[in-house]
Amino acid sequence: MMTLLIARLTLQEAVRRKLVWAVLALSLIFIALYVYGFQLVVDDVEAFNDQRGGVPRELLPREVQMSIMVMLGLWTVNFLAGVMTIFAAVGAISSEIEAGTLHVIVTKPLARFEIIAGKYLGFLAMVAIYIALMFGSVIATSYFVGDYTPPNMLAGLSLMILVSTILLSLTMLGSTIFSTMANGVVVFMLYGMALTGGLVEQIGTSLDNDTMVRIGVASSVLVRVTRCGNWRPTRSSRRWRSA
Amino acid sequence: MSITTSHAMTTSEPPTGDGRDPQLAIEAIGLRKAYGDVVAVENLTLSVRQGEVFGFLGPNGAGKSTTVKMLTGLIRPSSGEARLLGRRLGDREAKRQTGYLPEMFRFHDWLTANEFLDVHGRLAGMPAAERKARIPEALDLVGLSGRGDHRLRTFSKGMQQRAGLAQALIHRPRLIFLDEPTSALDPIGRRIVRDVIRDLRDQGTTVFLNSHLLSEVEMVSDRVAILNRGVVVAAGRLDELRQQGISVEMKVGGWNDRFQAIVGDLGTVERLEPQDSSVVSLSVLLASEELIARLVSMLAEAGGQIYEVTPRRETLEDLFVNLVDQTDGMDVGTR
Repeated sequence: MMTLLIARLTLQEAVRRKLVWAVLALSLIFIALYVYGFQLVVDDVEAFNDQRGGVPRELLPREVQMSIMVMLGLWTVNFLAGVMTIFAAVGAISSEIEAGTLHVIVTKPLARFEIIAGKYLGFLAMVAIYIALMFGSVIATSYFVGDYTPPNMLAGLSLMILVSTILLSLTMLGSTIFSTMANGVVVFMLYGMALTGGLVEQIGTSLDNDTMVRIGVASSVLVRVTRCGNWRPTRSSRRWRSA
Repeated sequence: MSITTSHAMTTSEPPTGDGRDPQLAIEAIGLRKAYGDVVAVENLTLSVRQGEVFGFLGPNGAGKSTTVKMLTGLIRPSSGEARLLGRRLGDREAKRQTGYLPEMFRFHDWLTANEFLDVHGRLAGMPAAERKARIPEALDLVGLSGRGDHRLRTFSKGMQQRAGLAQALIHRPRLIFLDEPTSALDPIGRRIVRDVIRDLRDQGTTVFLNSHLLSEVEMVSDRVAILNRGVVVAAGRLDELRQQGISVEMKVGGWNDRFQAIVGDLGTVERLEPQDSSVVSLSVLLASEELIARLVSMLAEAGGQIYEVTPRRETLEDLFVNLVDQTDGMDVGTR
């Protein structure tokens, strides 16, 4: 009950302080560019096929081309959601202590874990809704512009929300230990390392380079963000790699 | 630090028996808070009765705010114990019946005053209907009626502090902690706060008033405690704490040795200095007001010319400065 009240307050703050609107405005720009880019790729692929004079021989299977575009889109959404999670929650506790706004709340008849849980819930709801909307936009673009429906959508969406859940937990934990600024730097650096680590690992996998895979795994074990966050190779892309 | 506190509690304290007096709103025994080697509160023992306005005084850095933070549950004492309204620190029911206006009052200023009070009423466990009736009442009490729909951000500092006061009393607490409640207020705002405190007392609410504005405390408090360097150096009713008796400044002409005996019989001579050949300026400490008249008439009968008689009651400020000086001296002495 108190937890829900704090969660509501957290959401209300994000709306009132225009965080939500700023993120939505920027996301709309991203979606617009994404739709435009997707259309260009589709046009290119079709022009290429036309040049071949209808001979069914493609540079890459169309399915793989579209799947790459979807992966790019989701990778961006994943990144944006991560950044949003970190910056929304970076001062969840510390900035309220620094400002003194927490004093009158802690002294009310509720347990401290209810305050933490409420904020956690509020941020999680906000990020989950954001990811769902952006995920939906990417998939819809792929479906309507590229005439392609990627597989394992529910698993992908869940994994992306899980990424932000991990980041949120880490950020909230840091917010109870560090000052807002230190927490922001620490969590963002970890996030950057994990993202790069994830990329290194995936490139390593596709090149069959064990050292790269190990470096990648090691850095993303630190923060398990990209390992579960990246769109796992689909059947078609795996086929492409082995081809 | 090693100030002995044998004189800390005055005799005016009620007998506490097993240490659980149901009449006590606040009961602290040996509270201590240390941050590493730095001791903020050394050994704090105090009792506040239900329904009284209790002034908590002390110079900057004496540990006043640390004490309030321990009592309101913001920080945990390193040792010692305390009870609020007969319940241990951190008890939910005790918290529900407690209000608090912090010294560093900052609130979620993106809320309107109505929303702010609604949130805090909810946090305090008030039902919706009660909140709806109480919010305009509370705003009116602190002189902010008609401002309910404005965001706190648009409020001046003084208005924010008054909104904070409304927050502290929205749920009709039985015990209310006010930490420097007038720090941002102009004289009119101060008067409003004073009136609010008196209203609260009339309704039987216990008010713990933490302030360094002695005149404010003097005007509203029933009892006070003076804190210095983390210990209570004096506690009790103001009139008991003030120096017993009245100090009288006099200027007497035709002075001779007989006068000295008369003055010595009635009181204690604190100072005596001849002005010129026969006029003497002196200061006498008398036990009561009636003795002033008697002294004057006796001196006049003995042939003295009274030029000046000025009774001077010790103010809270005198008391405060004396006590703080004394205890600072003790502290230096024991180091």
